[in-house]
Amino acid sequence: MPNKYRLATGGTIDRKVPIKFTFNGKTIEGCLGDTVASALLSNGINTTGRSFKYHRPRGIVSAGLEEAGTFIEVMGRKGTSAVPATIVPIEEGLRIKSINCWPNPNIDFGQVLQMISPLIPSGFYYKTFFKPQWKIFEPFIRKIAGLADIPESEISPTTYDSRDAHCEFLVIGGGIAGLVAALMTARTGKRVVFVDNHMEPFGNWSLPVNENASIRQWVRTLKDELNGYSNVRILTKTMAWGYREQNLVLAHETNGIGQSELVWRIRSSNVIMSTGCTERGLVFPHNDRPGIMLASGLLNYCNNYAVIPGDRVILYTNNNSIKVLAKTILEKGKEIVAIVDTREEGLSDYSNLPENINIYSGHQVNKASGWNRLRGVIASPVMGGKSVTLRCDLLAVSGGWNPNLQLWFQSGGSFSYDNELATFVPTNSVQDVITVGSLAGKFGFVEKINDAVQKISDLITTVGLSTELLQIPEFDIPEDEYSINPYWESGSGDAGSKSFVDLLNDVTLADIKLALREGYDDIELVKRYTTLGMGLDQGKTGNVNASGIISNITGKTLDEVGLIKYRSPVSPVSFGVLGKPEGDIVKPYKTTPITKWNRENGAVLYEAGANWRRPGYYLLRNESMMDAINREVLAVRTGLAIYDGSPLATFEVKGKDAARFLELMFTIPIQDIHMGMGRYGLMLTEEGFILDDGICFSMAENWYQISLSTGNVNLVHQHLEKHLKCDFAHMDVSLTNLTLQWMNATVCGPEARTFLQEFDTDIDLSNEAFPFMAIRDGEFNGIPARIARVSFTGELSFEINVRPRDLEQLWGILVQRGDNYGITPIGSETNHVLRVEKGFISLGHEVDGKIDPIDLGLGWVIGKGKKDFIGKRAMELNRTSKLPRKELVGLVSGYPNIQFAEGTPLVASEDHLFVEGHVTASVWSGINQQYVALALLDDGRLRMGEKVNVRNLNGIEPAEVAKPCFYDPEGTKLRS
Amino acid sequence: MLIIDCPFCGPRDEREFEYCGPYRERRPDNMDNLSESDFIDYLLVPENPEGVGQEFWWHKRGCGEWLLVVRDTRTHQILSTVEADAE
Repeated sequence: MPNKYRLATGGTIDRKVPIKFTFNGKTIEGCLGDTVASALLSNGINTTGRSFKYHRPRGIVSAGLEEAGTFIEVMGRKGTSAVPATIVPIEEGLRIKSINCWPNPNIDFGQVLQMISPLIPSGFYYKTFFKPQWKIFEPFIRKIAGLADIPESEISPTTYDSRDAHCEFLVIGGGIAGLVAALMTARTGKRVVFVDNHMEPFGNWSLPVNENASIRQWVRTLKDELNGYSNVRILTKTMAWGYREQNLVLAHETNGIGQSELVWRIRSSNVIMSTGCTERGLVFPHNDRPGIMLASGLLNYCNNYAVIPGDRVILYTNNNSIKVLAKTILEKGKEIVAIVDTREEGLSDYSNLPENINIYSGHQVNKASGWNRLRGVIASPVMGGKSVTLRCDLLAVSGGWNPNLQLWFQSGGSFSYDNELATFVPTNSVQDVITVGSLAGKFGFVEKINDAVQKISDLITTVGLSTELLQIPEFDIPEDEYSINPYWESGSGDAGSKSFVDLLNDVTLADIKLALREGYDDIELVKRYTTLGMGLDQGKTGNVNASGIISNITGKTLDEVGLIKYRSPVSPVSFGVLGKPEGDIVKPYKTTPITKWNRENGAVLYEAGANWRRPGYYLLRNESMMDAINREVLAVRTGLAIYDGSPLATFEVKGKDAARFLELMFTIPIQDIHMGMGRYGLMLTEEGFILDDGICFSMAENWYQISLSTGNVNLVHQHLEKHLKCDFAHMDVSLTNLTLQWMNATVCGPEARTFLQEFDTDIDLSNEAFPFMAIRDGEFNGIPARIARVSFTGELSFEINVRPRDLEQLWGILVQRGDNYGITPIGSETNHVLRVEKGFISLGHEVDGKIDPIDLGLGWVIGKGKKDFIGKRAMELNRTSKLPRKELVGLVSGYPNIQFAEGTPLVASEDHLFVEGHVTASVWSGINQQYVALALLDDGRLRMGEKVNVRNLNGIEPAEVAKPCFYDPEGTKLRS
Repeated sequence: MLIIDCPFCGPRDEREFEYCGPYRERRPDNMDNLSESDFIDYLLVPENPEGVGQEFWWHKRGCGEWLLVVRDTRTHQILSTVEADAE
């Protein structure tokens, strides 16, 4: 019978709109407004999952985020894993699966674990399966452990985004105290953000006060007024999950499973926390049987969903809050078999309940019976005596209430144990945050309102604002004393029975005792040893009980024991919303002005350093990548080629002390660079290693321009700036990053000069007037240009720098008129081949942060007479060590077609795998008709001609050590 | 994420800044005749206090200035922000 346990009236569900979904393949009918949990309960489905470690049957234990019993997997395209069944609204056609069980929760293969459970205490897996190797056992253990499978769909259709918000007041939590706080702060006219994880603020109608017409009326007026303020942003269905420094609160807004998700970064001058409180359970043997619920959960199902999932109810408590539930159940016409109360004086408190209810004061529950469904409990007097067996199918438990300290904890606030309330309450704040309502330990309805009014008035006055006083009507509601008597654990039961402290992670009382016995006496160590409170629910219902139990066993006070540290997030947040969405909006690529031309001409574009997207190579019809690169290399070596060198880092250094500054930043002498000429130099870190290489041009007196690597521009900019601002602030130097101000087309190849001389230019391009390393300003074909004769390819090369707006025109005319020469556009892959053939160094290949100039054979780049430059002292100090250094060498195989992959280690011998170096780059050299490689090798320069062993994937390959230059070692080509 | 009160731009989000390491003494001028131990102290022994410490921040995506920020590493509270070479 569908909805067997649905009450005829009441609730906020719509009985007229039935909704069907499947649970483990079985069709279930609920109605509009149901969650998966309430729909399952109304259909009498008790066993809804299996536990994590022992695979015991589990049911639904609460009605909210604190759920520790039932986690589900939502299948299908919008699938998601491991969410509490209590927060997923049902939809037509939704497919749901239990987790931790196979094939289904009623017949679970992993149940066999339960039989051997006495043999698997805390740390069992790691203690047992480490021999011969953990990885042999891992696949089996993983199959029966773990929480859920990865969702079926490959790409989630959910969209994720993030937003920032700034405000003067942030109110977290939409209970009555939060509502009052939001309204009072709203009246100041300042910006207010009000965050609540329900459908609407104060939307949880399970509260008994909602029965009271005058309260409902008053709350309605508060909400209406609040909705009218334009300075208030109300974020519903939004969970504040993180609290960072300087009052930064992170909140997660979602419309439900598979809907769009948003993360809010809310920065507020003042935070008002009213995150409320959560009920905790009671610890007794078999307290995890399906049919045992938190009293607050049952009350919620009664009032919101009109479900009481049982016919014979027993209540078990140590405080008075359960009376509301007792009254509600009786009003709905269900039978309460008994109330078991651990307090001796409990009797008097129940005086206004019907007399036919058995009240066992001063009793504890010794054990619950049943397997897939609760059958009854055995109770006995706390002080000892005859036990009674009571039959029931539903047990509601209240172990007291804990303020939701998760965010408070994250804000750095302190807390202490309150004897009266038998729980931890917030004390001193570290940031600008206050707590109101039940979070602050005020559990009575009127008490909460008064607390909020008082604290918010004080806050508003303190920050120098004023607000209209809030009128609070007189409410006629009976408020019972809470009068809790903590009861951390009851009865040890027989040896095989388990008392669960953390339901989700299957941590029992015995596990905690074991941890303490084995010397893990700090609560954080108990956590790590037993996994207590480490589940998806972060121990919202169990952690305070754990503190109480540890206090009982060790004799320490609860303040000494403390509470397991709550970390962010408060509840699970999907990875999607935390990750930065990729794409052009969030991380735009930099492109040069000729990108359109590149795309139209077969360029294969990808990122090549510093977020620049540039051509790797240009594909002609039917070409492979290798063909394309070989064709481009040949063009550079024998004819005419052109590439876009715009991303090259360019800085301008000006000022009276510019040369002095650069002398300190570079290894080379600067003062004697002739005007209009450049010099190759290295920039070191103060630790003595290469940071970058580049060319310094002397443009005019006190004016230099430096060109550096593309990929390292941010780091180098910071390095230059830092020394300039922090060490050499007294110098008269101005540094400007011109990387984006100069774009260039670089024309290279033996025919470059002949070709360029065809154009109308006032720059004399002859070798005599314009030698290698010179730089000239002038006009080129009517475009203002700065031409540099530098070469990264080893060939004659002219770098024509122009304004970004002129590059397209320049490129167009060069390509058009170069047609007669067979001008070939080339990409960065080709540049890589060319530079490896020449043995030019590249950042990230040969320069790996542990290499100095001499290692690379660049001792000549160090100015001999220089007394000081950044890194000089440390480099000299490093070199006093007698240990062998990795030096740059070339490597060739005896066989032209054998390639040594980049990163491959060089080993001492076939049997002795001591690594003495590695391959840094390896390319097919068309000129040499063989693969050539560069490598860093211990004392490499002393070992020219020697054989070394390259440990390729297929085994050891011999290689010969050669000079790290495979083309034009004299450099006549580039100077021609 | 921090809010850093730039003396030139006012309070700004951390995303505009780059952290550039703990405060270090100015680089010695006489690097070539500094004793080895003094040099090693300069190079390898930065302050790294638990509590109030000074650090360099670069307002790279803002005014471009270099700032000396006094920050409590335990609470992330920023006690002062001044131009790095203000002395």
